[in-house]
Amino acid sequence: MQEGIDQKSRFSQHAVFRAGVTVLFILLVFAIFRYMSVPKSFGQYGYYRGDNVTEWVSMDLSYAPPGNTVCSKCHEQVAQATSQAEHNKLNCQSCHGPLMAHVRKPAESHPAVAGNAELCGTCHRELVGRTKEQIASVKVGEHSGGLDCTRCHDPHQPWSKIGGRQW
Amino acid sequence: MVKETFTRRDFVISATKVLAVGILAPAGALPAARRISALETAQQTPVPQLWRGKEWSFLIDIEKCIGCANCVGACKKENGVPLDQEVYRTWVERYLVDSNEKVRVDSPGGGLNFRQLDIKPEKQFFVPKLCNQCHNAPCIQVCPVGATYKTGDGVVLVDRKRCIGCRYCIQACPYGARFLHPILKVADKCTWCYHRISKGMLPVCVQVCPTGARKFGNLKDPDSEVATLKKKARTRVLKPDMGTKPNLYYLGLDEVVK
Repeated sequence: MQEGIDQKSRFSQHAVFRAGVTVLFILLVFAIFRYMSVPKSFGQYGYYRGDNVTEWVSMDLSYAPPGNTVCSKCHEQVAQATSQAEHNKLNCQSCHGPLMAHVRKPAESHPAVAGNAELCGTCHRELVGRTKEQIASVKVGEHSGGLDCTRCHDPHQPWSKIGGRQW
Repeated sequence: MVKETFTRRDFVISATKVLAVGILAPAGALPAARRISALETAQQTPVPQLWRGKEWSFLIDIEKCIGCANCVGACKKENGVPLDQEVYRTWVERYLVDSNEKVRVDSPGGGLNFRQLDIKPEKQFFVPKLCNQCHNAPCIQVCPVGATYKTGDGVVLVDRKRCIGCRYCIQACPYGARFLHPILKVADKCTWCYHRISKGMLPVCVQVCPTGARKFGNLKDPDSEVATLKKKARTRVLKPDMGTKPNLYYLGLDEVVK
């Protein structure tokens, strides 16, 4: 009798022990799996990888910083001329394109601008959708007869070349 | 143990150090180099502080847009979106409404290739579109891997390392603002140039807009243009019935715009 009870309790002790080990093992596997699969900064600020914010912040620029402050440090004269005429609200890079490479290494990158109807026409060609009240627009072919816009208009002071408004 | 002899080896080492300092220090102090490094690093604050007191907001004045699509091209160049493919972080739509209230909408090349048409519409205007950075963004809810999220200053971003390219978010966006990046094969969309605004600059589309139709600023700064305009002018958002609570507002938006 006595022996039977002992055996029984020994058996149940074994079972508890084995179950415990199994549960611990599963937990350990889960912990390892979780450690390996969840990125380090995940959950730092919310349900996402916190480090990603810094990754976006440190992305490289191709357009130089705002205003025309950077450009005017070297190109003072032309910046001054532009600031007094019709195109004064424009950013240099609106027409000249991305200039960060030029700002970083002025000697190595010289961005060229085509002063032709294709560029000027993006704003100034007649187009259904835009009105004459919004913007001075022309039928490009008729207006210039195929010449480059810069033959008559200095983009920095649109009327100065043809004896119009001089600033 | 104290070394007492100054060997040739010691001499060479210290001479190199002196030389290195002599050459590198003036080079580092070059005016151009200093100016650029200041531009890029000065305003890089650590993340939680970066968000303090900021709630970015975007406002577009429809009356001022002339459909030049300068913004579309600049955005692609700034953010590494392939120029020759039909994917856009921002694009411009042309709305032409005739006298029978029939609406014609087009956006060839995202607005870069508008053609002159032989029609005289009753109403004509351009609507620039981009990510609305919704307060209640469906794209964030559907992402199965937590790759898209809203920052503390109100911009929805995509974690490119985490995105598995399943396209759920592209389907979920009611504004069609998302696309699969053709090269990286991850979801991509407008970030309001997060790399610029976090350094005190404007998003590139706002910077190059020749007419000032695009406005960007901090709503928590009462003096910012966007905050003032939002207070006094009548603004509208796109698809308010979707319940997404967009953070992109329009001035003078016609009711035909979807």
